[in-house]
Amino acid sequence: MIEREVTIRNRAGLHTRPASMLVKTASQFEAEVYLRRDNYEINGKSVIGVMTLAAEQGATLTLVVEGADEAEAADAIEALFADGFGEEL
Amino acid sequence: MEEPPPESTSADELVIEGTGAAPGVVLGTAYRYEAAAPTARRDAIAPDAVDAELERLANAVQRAEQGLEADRVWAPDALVPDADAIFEAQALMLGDEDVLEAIRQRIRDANEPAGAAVQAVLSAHRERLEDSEDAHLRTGADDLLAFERRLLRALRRGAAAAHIDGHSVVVAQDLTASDLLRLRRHNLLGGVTARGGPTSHTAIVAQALGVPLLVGAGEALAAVSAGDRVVVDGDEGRLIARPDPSTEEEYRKRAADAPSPTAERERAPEGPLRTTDGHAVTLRANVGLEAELDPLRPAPPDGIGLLRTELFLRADGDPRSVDEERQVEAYRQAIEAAGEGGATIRLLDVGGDDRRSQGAAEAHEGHPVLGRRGLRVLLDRPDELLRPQLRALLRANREGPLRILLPMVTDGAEVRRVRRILDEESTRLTENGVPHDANVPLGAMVEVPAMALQAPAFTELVDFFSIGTNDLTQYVLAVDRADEQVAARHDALHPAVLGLILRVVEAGRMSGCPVEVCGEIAGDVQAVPVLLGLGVDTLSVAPPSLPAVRRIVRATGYDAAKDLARDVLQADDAQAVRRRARAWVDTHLSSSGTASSTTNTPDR
Repeated sequence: MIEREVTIRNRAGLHTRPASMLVKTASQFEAEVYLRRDNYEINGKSVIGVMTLAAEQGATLTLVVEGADEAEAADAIEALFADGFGEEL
Repeated sequence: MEEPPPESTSADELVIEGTGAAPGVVLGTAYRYEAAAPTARRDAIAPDAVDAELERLANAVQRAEQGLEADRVWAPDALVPDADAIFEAQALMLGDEDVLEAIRQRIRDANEPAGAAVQAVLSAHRERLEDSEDAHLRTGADDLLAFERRLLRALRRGAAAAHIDGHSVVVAQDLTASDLLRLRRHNLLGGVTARGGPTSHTAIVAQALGVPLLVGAGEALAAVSAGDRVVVDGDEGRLIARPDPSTEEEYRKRAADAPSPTAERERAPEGPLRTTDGHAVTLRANVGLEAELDPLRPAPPDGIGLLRTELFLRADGDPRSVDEERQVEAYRQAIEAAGEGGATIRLLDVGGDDRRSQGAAEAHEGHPVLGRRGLRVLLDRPDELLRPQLRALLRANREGPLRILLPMVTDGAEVRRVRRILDEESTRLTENGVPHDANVPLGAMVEVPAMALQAPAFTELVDFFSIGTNDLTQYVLAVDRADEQVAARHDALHPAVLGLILRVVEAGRMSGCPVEVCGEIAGDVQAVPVLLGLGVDTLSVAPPSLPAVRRIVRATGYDAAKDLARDVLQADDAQAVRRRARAWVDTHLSSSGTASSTTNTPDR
């Protein structure tokens, strides 16, 4: 199991479009993906779940990935956060 | 060929005997159909109805997926920023197993109807977003709401069965004639019902459509599941589910030997109407007089998009004198002429410029077009005109697909009131044992600017929008068409009117709510490419305009039309739009003249 801290860098936060990107990326992997904010944890392959994190710019989330391809999955998802989902930072 | 199929050679093959109600043999895939639930809201479903409700949900999700694909293709993404991202998200939402499972759980554990379960689960998620302090994140709540409406609409439209394809055989407890017509519109191959007899209206319609139909198959039909391979033998009165390869082969030969009854009845020789780049466009007819029905019958367009009932029903000069029975008959005629596309019937729109039909007091109003007209009149005295007309429509809806259209809607409260009255009348008809079909789409005319501006909110209330550009233009431009001193200023190609049309199209596309344009502009050759470019895919025009509009649609490319629409929205008056639209039509379609020829390669 891999656990990493990720931060929302883009100005608009984890709104509908980045949430879709995240889910599409997570869904490419076998591994289970979870995101946690405080005590609220959601499935990283559920777009509605990701949206309800309501994670604004600057918010920090815990990314939990578990499964055969967890290393690749964690890297790919972390890269999305690092890139601010391709949006304005 | 007459020997009965072999006794079940595998454990799986199932032969069910019934009564052939329409001849012919087809092989297809079973599609289980449940008639739409009564309009009355139920708090809980019976425990033994849970499986059916889960299936209804699964069907709705499939339907919503297909509707979403269509909307996505037509989305004016060049005009609406982020449209594609929102559609992408909606597609992911429809595949969100966590949320779907939460909905299913409520149906299973709490016996909640699917609609209530959808609302409960999604509103909980929405509230989390609405609580966010970040304005941009709060917009996610709107995206969830649009998704929720799309799913609820798909549930409501149970009967429309958009995911039926050319391989489907409907399996149902019972089917009304209008169910069958609706399903046939989706290329249904054949049908089987547990109940019903060979002389029913449904049987007659099946014969007329050339759809093999088996009735009275009884309770054994419960053993047929959605997705099963099935053979319907309407000649011998037999259904074979999950046939053995040998049985299937035998029937395949029989089906191939017999001329396909449906193939002979394909529509207009030219085939479905499409743009040069293959986008389907629905073209309907506006009808105001009974005499206009006859010319439609030989080659009906995709139904009647606007039937104005004021003159249509006028027996001796006043629509108020027309009784319910006469109305049922008149609507039956319209349905018959409309064919598979069905008929959109607008409730009596009295008042406004129809001054002669007004009482003396009303004639004294300074601005009748801003006065008591349309739905306002109907709701003021619902017993007089509204209730009898709704009853007649509910009754006629048994005969084929009807849609009810409300004139001059301004407020949501008006639509809610009509829905309530419609429910009441349906209940009363049921109590009195009068046959009718309560499953009827309810749409709103978009004429009052308030309605266009609030279109996203109205997507929750109505099943479709029909934009009446004549009145919309008059209200947006503050031009009374009846006043000849200003009438020349009345042009629906004004960019402000087009902007409102785009707003309605966008609201509809985002939530899967169909939008059509039925005003004169839909029959205006210069306007058609602009409307297509704005994302409109259904036009309803006066019958004489049908051929010209068909030609212009066939010669227009959707992508090029989008560029045109984006361009004209920037204009500051109707003349500028007309100039650009005319130039566009000339460049794109000029090779052989816009009104004279169909060319597949308009770009020179």
